[in-house]
Amino acid sequence: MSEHFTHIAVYEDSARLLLASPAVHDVFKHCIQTQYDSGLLGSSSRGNHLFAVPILEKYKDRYASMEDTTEADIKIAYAIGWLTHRASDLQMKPVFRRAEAHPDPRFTYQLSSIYHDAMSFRKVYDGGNMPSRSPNEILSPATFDENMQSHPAARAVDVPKIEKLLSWMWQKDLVCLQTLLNEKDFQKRIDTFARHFPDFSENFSTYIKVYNDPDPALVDRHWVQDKLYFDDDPAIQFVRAVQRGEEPGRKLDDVLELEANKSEYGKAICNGYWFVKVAGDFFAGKASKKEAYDACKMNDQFRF
Amino acid sequence: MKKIDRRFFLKSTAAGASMLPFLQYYACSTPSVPLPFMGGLTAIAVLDDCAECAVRHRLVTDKAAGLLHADIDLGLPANASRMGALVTATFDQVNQVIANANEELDHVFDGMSGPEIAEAVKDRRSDAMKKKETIQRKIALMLGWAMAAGVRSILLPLYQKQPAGDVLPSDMQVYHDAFILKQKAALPDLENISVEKIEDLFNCVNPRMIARTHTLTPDYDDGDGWTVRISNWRDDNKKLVQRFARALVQPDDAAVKKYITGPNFYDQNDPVLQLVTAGKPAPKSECQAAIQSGENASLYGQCVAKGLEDLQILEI
Repeated sequence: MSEHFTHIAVYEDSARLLLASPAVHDVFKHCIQTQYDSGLLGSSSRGNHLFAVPILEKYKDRYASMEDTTEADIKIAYAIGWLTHRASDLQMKPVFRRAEAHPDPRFTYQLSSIYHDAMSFRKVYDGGNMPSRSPNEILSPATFDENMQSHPAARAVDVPKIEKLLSWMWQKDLVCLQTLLNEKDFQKRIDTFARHFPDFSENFSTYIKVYNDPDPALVDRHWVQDKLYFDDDPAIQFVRAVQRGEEPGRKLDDVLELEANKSEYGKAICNGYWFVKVAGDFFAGKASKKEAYDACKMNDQFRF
Repeated sequence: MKKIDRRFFLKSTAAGASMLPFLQYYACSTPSVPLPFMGGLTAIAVLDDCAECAVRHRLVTDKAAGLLHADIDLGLPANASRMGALVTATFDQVNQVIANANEELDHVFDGMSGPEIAEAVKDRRSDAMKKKETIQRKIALMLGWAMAAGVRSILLPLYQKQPAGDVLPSDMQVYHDAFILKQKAALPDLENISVEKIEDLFNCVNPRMIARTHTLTPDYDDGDGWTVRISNWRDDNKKLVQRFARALVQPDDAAVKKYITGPNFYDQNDPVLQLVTAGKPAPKSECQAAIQSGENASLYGQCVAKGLEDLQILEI
């Protein structure tokens, strides 16, 4: 699957399309706007197949009568993010698998996804110069620096030492957010901890190298031949204009046609829009649950 | 839309009031773990110092050393050892987990042919190697439990006495954590940097941390509730970072006296802390003298000393 930066980029660009659309449920737009970071977290999370549609089903008939919708808004925003995660995965995973299947051993699933992240950070976040819309996702040109060396504060603290302590602290927090520690049997609790521990499976040094010193052969493979991101895709032009606070210059309906967008990223954000739009129709009672599942191409075994 | 007032929950209960703030983050219905709060960086630093000290001075077996040397860029099982303060257990329980895990390790490649094993060990992502790492993670966590002995007996009782204020964690914990960050990582230019720049740097680390986890793993038993817990955590973490940055760059003198100097929180002259920072391996007798020295007077030093003592008792 894609890595963190592509997932949040697809969420943020899908959100730009969704918020611009009169056809998207008002509640969904409200949730994106007021619980934006929850949506971003959803886009960075596994589990869309298990939780996204069931959460929407839980709240669709009771939302209007709820006095306090704060928690529901968080969960709905999260479900929206989860659906954009799905859209990104369904578009990009076949690309990664093709890379892995290529006879050239330089092309791998993992590197393909890391090259995607490098592209997403460069194109969507302008290398850290364009902020995320989330107040909790702080990006910087130093995000992809070795030891964040270009950050103004990097001269004041030993960044690797800070980073390891903060990272473990947050890793500990992620464990604490799970109910796995409720297990009463000690051995079972430890077994569950070990299985679900949110370990650091990605070597961020590889991301940094790919971003700052990409291999030309892999750039050609993963960015060019795989048609990763085209600046002139209609959906991409639309969202980049919105991001810059400019008039997009074309109608939303014209940019949402999947076939009008030729790059994988352009298609991913269109799918992000459509998955969420139909989910919103389901939330409003205008589409069935089957239609919501069909729209996001859910496997039968995960249709609850 | 009305924001849920979490403080109502805290003030409306009487018993164990100092523990209740933790439960809003904790998914646990009962506090079966002793350190369930935001922050807790001091505890992690204690474990990191114990681990690196034990490895450098050869205080543990090679096998244990392999499960103590952690690296946030390599996803080693040893990362789990830094979580040891989350575990409540007895020595017997811990030794049993280690024994069971060692037994499991002996059978990881059962049923596989020689060539299959040869292929599997080349790839960390193979099923067999992932299984092996999961088992090793259990042992690493148990090592962490031992290293957290001082945290449990010295720091936790202090933290639990702190008033359940509006903001987690307590000022004491924030000042301890900020002091440790300063101790470990301050450069001369820290004198000239603004709180805002340090805060921004710390916040920039968070997406890198998430990227290292690849994607966030939901609570598969409570995905619904988890979305709210993690969303709240992100909001409150940002406030915590702001408090860290302020306590690091512009500490309040009265707070420093109250939480750091007054109680002798950290003294680099503690023999065991000298051992921690020694660049070269020391003879075993010197190590033990430093660990057992009655001159380890600071709270942090005593935590490290106790952690190193207990680590060496484990049967590994």
